[in-house]
Amino acid sequence: MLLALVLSIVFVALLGMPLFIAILAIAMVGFHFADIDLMVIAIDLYRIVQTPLLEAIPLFTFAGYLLSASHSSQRLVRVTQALLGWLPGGLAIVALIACALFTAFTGASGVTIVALGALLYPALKQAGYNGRFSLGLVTSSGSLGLLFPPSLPLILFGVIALQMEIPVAMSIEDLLVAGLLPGLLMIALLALWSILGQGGKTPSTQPFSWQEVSQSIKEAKWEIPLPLILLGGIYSGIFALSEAAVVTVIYLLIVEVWVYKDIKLKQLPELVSEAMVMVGGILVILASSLVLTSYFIEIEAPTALFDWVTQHIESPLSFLLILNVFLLVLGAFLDIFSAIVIMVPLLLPIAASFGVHPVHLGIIFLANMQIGYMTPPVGMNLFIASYRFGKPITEIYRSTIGFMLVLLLALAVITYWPQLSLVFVS
Amino acid sequence: MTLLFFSLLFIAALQIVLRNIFDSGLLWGDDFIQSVVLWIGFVGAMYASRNASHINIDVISRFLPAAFSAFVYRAVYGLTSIICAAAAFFSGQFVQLEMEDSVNAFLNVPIWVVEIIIPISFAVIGVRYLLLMFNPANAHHDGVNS
Amino acid sequence: ATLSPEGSSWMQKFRESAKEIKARTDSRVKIKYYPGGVMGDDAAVLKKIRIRQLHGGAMTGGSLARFYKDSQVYSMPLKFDSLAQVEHVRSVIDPIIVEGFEEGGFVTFGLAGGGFAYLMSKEPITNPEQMKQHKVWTPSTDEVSNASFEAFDISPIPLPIGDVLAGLQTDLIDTIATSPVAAINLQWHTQLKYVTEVPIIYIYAVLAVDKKAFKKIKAADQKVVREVMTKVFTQLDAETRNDNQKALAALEKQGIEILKPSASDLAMWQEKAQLAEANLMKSAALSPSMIELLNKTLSSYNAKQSATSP
Ligand code: NA
Ligand code: NA
Repeated sequence: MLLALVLSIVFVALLGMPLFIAILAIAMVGFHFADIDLMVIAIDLYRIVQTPLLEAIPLFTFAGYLLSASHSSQRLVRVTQALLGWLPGGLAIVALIACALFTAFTGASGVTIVALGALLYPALKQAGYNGRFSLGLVTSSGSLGLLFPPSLPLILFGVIALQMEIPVAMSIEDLLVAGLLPGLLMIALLALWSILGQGGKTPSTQPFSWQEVSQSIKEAKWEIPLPLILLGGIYSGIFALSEAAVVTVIYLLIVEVWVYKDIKLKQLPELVSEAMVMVGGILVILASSLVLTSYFIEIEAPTALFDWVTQHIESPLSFLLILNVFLLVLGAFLDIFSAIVIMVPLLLPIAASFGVHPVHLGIIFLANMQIGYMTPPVGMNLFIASYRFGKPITEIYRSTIGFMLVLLLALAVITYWPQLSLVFVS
Repeated sequence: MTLLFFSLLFIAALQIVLRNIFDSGLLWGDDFIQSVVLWIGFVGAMYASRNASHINIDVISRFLPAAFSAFVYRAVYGLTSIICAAAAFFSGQFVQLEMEDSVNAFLNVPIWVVEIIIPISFAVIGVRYLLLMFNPANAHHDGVNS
Repeated sequence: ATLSPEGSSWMQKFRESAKEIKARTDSRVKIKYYPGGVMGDDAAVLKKIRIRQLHGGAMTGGSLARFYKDSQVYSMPLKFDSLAQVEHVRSVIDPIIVEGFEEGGFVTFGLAGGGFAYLMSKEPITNPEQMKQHKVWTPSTDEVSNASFEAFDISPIPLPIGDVLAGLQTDLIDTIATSPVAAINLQWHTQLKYVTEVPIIYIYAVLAVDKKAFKKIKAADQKVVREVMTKVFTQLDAETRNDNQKALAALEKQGIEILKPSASDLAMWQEKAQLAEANLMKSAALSPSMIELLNKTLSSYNAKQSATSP
């Protein structure tokens, strides 16, 4: 009976029921059968207030909305073009770097494809890049940068891991540093592919000019310091992550509203609402998954799963392989925030028993999710690109295959070479 | 919404200034921030229910023929509404229980005042989905949550 | 539910006791423990007890203060200077606290002492004046600790326990008061350099079981549970005392300097503590009769000590 009910809820969820309601429904049915008063849902939903660094979520989300609503994407592309456009294949590299930086700040909400893709796709085609290649590049870059701070999924992973009993000491700051090399590896491999994949004819788009460099930097001089202030501040310990979030929002408010005047003061309430609806969507999933986790603990499911996995999977190597396949599929179906809040509490203890460092697990997890965004048939970036560029979804599938294989290669390196992620972690 | 967000930003900024420059801080500041984030979450969820833009995984209905999927969505909205009603009922019951208690969330604000957003939010979301069931045209379900 | 992690000596003892109780009551009483804080913090556990999802929880004395306010009497600052003193006072006051919890609706099985909380810091602190220049962490904002902080003229920085390590790393805070065992278990000691050997307050924990739930089991079974759990708590009490001494030694071994304040510094600490006591009297966070009882018991012990020592 319980199983039948749970399966029907899962089915309704796949038909489009709001995910947080489906999660809550499963927990409520479970608690009912475990003979526990359903008032328990209010207690466990409320537990979200104890999540460490919770306020970083609304703050960084709003910062991302400020950047998206301003002309910062144009300024960002102009600077990177001026610096790298002279290289053969330079524009492709420009696209990769600009997308990665933009996604790190705005999160993988599809904003990158919508805002930057619209700039870069025509530019790439005009510069002589093959149309399908250009399409694949902007689509697969839409989630590139998830591994760079202050990417929200990265922070969320840390937030959840910190709530758990973990055998090794870790901090969110560790996680933020750990993503740097793996993220750079992905960019480097994709850049290499962009140059080789064009069969030797990779045009440079503009000659190098000191004048353009200085002009573009001058234009973006208020935004360039932001990553430096933020990353420098966090890594040197000048401010904590929650403080960095506050500083970022206030800095961006001043810069975009009063310095660049890209955003009008009276636009702010609308922008706040939009951002907070997004935040609400994430937070209620986070909260309802606390209820579900609490049910799992009531019936001692984590222990059972743990025993089963450790009995049936022997080596860390096969564990990691199965983990990758599982997460890739999951990443294609589930949005990144739901995937993190549902899976991390279950995976973390199992991974730890195979000797996988929680920070390394976080990087593997996010790398998989990033690729999941472009995995056919339902990766979200594919739909966004299809919608944004007006191309049939099948053409998008074909255009991204090459990029996906390159990213899978990067994933293999990231998974089986823990040192790449852990080199800066004490 | 704007008020909630900017009060969060203001108190969080004030805490930083007090801590780093004056080596002090508002004792209730962090409790206040936590409570505001809870409210932002549930008020935001209410907003999102206006046009059914909650994060979902409609992998099946996405590929259904239009005439059939309209029917499926009505059914899904109806079920959503029922679950919200149950959630509102049970969380409301708990908040009532909390009213007998004297614990404060921050300053002199009792904890139930903060918690009450949970049943309110579920009730509103439930009503919204009920309306959407009768009039699914107001929903946008393209699977893109941006 | 308990905040102690799986595998800790607390959980081992709890699990053994559950087995013994099950056997001795012919499986009529089965106890299930949820370790490691999986059910949430003390506040969430208390709520879950209210809706009867849980029947009890192991928690620190402070979490139960609203059910019996005088349970926080050992949180009066700088009352004790030796464990022997504590032992004597506890033999008198512990039964009153247990009685108080019972009236507040919770059955407990004795107190498990957690030892003294000491001041631990990044920079040396030997007198209370120095403390003003530091960012001091407080785990809670309850009346008793507020009254003490007020006396010491400090505005503390409240953070949830999970954020303390990061707070120390980023210099958000630089001074904490906690027991040596907690400092090591939570890795806080890696960020600290000094321990000031002034016992600030005395910490303890209890296993609190909802009285209504407890009364539902047969009288004979109640007796078995009380007997077994009281035995467990007596053992835990003895064990944690040794643990704390060992932990303090371990801290010293790891290069953390133990500072002993001079006589004049100590006098300053005492002066501030007096002020805190006056604050507590005024705010009625503790009842005057309880404060009086503590003072009387202490002075009678001290008098006996000085009479017997040569
Ligand atoms: Na994006
Ligand atoms: Na902060």
